[in-house]
Amino acid sequence: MAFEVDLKALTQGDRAAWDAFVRRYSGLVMAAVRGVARERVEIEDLTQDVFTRLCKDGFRLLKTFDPSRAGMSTWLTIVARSTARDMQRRRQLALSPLDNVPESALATSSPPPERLSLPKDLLSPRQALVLSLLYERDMDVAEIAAALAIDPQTVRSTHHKAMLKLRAHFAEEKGDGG
Amino acid sequence: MDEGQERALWRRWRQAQAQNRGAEIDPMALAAYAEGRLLEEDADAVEARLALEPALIEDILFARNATPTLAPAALVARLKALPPAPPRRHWQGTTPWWGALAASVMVASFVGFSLGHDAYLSFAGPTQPGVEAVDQADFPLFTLAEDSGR
Repeated sequence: MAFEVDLKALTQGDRAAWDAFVRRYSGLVMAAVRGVARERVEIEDLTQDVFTRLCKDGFRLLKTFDPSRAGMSTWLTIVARSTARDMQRRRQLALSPLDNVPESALATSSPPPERLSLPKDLLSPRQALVLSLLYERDMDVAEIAAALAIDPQTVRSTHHKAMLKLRAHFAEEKGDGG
Repeated sequence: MDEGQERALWRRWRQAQAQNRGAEIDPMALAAYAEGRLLEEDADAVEARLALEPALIEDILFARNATPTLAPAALVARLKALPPAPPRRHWQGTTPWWGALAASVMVASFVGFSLGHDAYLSFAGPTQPGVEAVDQADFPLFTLAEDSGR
């Protein structure tokens, strides 16, 4: 049986609706943050942090949920993991001696990137994402295909075309500079 | 071109894109992307952002395969206690609900009696000599028994 939570009543301060929301989704949020933390106490604390964020400022975050765009479970999982990572990062920075904290974490602005003249749309978003998953997440073709819900052959083809573009662009740059 | 050279090309592209990080991605957009409910151009925007922060793809994979666990009762109790009580409106006093009900019954009774008494006076005709006109405001709801023989 579907267990519906009255979100409108909840965001207006109805305690029974909030209790129902907690009963319905506390297990889901715990499972979501479990992928970010390992210790039981930390998992429970992060779960509480997520729910605190949801009801903060008159349920401001919860009011942004739009059921016409996605399901509550999906949205809540993403919010939970994002919140858990943020809180974990803050706690780790607070606990670490200053000397152990990398400079990049303390910097108020990122160091200037290498000056490259790249056309804004040199790579399509899909091409950039495939390369990112291949080279930064070290995912294989099958994993990327599953993540993006596309055919493995499409992943290979996207990768190949992206590489052709990058190769051609940097070869031109080299030719102009030389 | 071997994989090492391809990675190097990718790194150069990635460095140049670092300055184009842009705003934080909206969780609602990510959720819609995870469920395959975005139009192509909106999906492109999400994928462009994911390319700069590929760790987020794990959130999407997790959301698609989420399996809730059982939260301990103590934790659930703590979570239920989180929201502050809503502010009381200034007109909300400490009168219990039955006080409002009793007041409503009293008002309804008085109005009903007044209407009934008006109807009685109109049927009874003009006031007889010696009979004093009764002002509603003076007529008590409950009276002591008079000497009926007078």
